[in-house]
Amino acid sequence: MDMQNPLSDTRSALRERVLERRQRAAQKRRNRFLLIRVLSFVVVLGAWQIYGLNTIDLIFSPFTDVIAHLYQLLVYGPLAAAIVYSVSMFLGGLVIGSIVGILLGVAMGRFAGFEAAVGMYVYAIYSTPLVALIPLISLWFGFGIEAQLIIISMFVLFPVTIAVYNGVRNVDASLTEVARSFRANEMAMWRHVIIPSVVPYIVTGVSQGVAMGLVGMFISEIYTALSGMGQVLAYSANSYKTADMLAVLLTVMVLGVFFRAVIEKLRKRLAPWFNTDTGR
Amino acid sequence: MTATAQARPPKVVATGISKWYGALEVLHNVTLEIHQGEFVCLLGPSGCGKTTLMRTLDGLILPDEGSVQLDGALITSPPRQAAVVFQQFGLFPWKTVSQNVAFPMVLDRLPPTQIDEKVKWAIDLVGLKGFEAAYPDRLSGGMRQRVGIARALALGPELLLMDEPFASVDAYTRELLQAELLSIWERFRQTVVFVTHSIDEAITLADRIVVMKAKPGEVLHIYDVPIERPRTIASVRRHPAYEPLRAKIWEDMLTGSGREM
Ligand SMILES: Nc1ncnc2c1ncn2[C@@H]1O[C@H](COP(=O)(O)OP(=O)(O)OP(=O)(O)O)[C@@H](O)[C@H]1O
Ligand SMILES: [Mg+2]
Repeated sequence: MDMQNPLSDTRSALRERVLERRQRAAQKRRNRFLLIRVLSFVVVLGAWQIYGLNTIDLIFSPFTDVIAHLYQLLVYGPLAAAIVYSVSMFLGGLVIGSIVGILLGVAMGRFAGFEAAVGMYVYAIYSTPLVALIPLISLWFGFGIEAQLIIISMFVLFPVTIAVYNGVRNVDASLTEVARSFRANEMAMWRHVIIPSVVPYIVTGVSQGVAMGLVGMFISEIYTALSGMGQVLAYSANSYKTADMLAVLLTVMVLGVFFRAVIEKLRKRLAPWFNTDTGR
Repeated sequence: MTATAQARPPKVVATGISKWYGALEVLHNVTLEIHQGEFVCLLGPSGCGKTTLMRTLDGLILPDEGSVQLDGALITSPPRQAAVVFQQFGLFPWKTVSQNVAFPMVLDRLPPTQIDEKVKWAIDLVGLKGFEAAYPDRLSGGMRQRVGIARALALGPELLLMDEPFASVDAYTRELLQAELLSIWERFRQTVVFVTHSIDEAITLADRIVVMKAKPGEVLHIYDVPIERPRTIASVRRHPAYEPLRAKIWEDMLTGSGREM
C-alpha cells in the first residue's frame, strides 16, 4: 500500500529485536527453573536415601531399595499386569466422567431451566464424600468392572462438571456482542465464541479429574473386588513389605505426573492462547 | 451543516429514538441525520447513552420509540454495510491477529483466497505487518486497537461505527492513532460515527460534532467543524477556528452536565 513510510522498516526491525530479546529472557528463565528442579530432586532423593538407610526396613526403605523392588515387581511380580489393568480402568473412567461432565456442565451453564432442575442434585452429590456411596454402588452394580468404572467416573465427573459450568457462565458478553455485530448465527456463536472460551476450563476440569480419578481408581480397587494396583498395594501392606508399598506409590505418583503432563501438552495444543508458563 | 454535506444523500437517519432500561430513560427523542461520507463525532459525558445510541445504530438493540434507517432501509439487526470498532477492542483471545481480522469475512463465507488478500491488505494498512500470528495478549493496547480497526476496515464497510476506540490507550499512542485514522479516512471516505469523551479528538477528526447531554441522553447541539482537509493534528491545533469552537463546546458540556443550570 502507499501507506509505506520510511519509518515502518526501522519500526519492524525494532519490533523484531524486542521480540528476540524477550524470547532470550524467557529461555534464560526456563533454564533457571530447570536447574532449581534438578537440585530439588537431588536433595529430596538424597534425604530419602539417608533417612531410609537409618530406619528399619519395616518403617521406611532407602530409595535404591525401592527402585530394586520396583524392578522385581515389574519384571517378576504382578505389577506390570496390575498397571495395565488399573490404567485401562482409570482411562475408561476418565473418558466417561469427562464426557458426561462436559455435557452436564454445558447444559447447566447454557440452559437456565436445566440448571434449575438438575443443579441442586449435582451440588448435593458433589458435597457428599463419594467414598460413602461405594456400598450403595456395590449393592446396585456388584463388585466387577462395571462398578469400578462407575466409581472412577464419579470421581472424575464433578470437577469436570463444575469447571465447565463456570466456563460457560463466564463467556464474555462483550465478545458475544462483537460476534453478533458481525452477524454471527447461533452455530457460529458456538464455534467461534462459546466453545473456544470453554476449552481452557475443560482442560482445567479434566486435569483435576485426573487427580480425582486416580483416587477413585485406588478406592474402587480396594473397596470392590480387590484388583489392579490397589491389590498389589494391599498385599504388600498386609505382608509388611514396605519397599513394595513404596514402589507402588512411586508408580502412581509417576502416573499422575505423566497424565497431568499429557493434559498440559493438550492444553498447549487446544488453547495455545492460554499461556501459563511465561508470566503475563 | 455545510452546503456540500447537505447535498449528499443521508446515509443514516435516526428518527425520534428513545430507549429505556427499566425506569431509566437512557435516550430521549434523539434525531440525527448522517450523510454519505461524513465523519461525525458523538461527544458527551459518561453515561449519556453514547454506547446505547451506537448499539441502536448497528441494530444490536432496538429502540423503544423511533427508528433507524440505513440507505433508506429500516435497521432491525446488524447490517452488512456497517462495521463496529469497540472500546475494549473486542478481540478474541483464542484467535491470532490474522484470524481476528478474518473473522467477519469467515462469517460472511467469502472465498479463502479473497479473505487472505483482504486480511493482508488491512494488516498492512494499520501497520501490523509481522504480527499476523501473534495472539492479542501479546500486543500493546494501541496495537490491539489497530487489529480492531483492521478487522472493521477489511470488510470494506460503508458505515464505520467507532465507540471510543482510543479511550484506553496512552496519550501518545492516541494521537498516533488519530493521525493514522485521519489519513486512512481521507483516502476512503467511509461514513463514520465516532464516539469520544475528548473535545480535542472530536475537533481533530470530525466534520460535525454532535454534543449530547445526560439524564436523559439527548442531542444538545450540533457543530460544524470548519477546518479544511487534509488535516494533521498540528494543522488543526493551529487553525483559527480551533480555540473558539473548543471553548463553545466546553461551555455546552458544562451546561449539559447541569453545572451551570
Ligand atoms: N443493558 C443495560 N441495562 C441497564 N442499564 C444500562 C444498560 N446499558 C446501559 N445502561 C445504562 O444506560 C446509561 C447509558 O449507558 P451508555 O453505556 O450508553 O453510556 P455512554 O455514554 O456510552 O457512557 P460511557 O461514556 O461511560 O461509555 C448508563 O446509565 C448505563 O448504566
Ligand atoms: Mg460507552
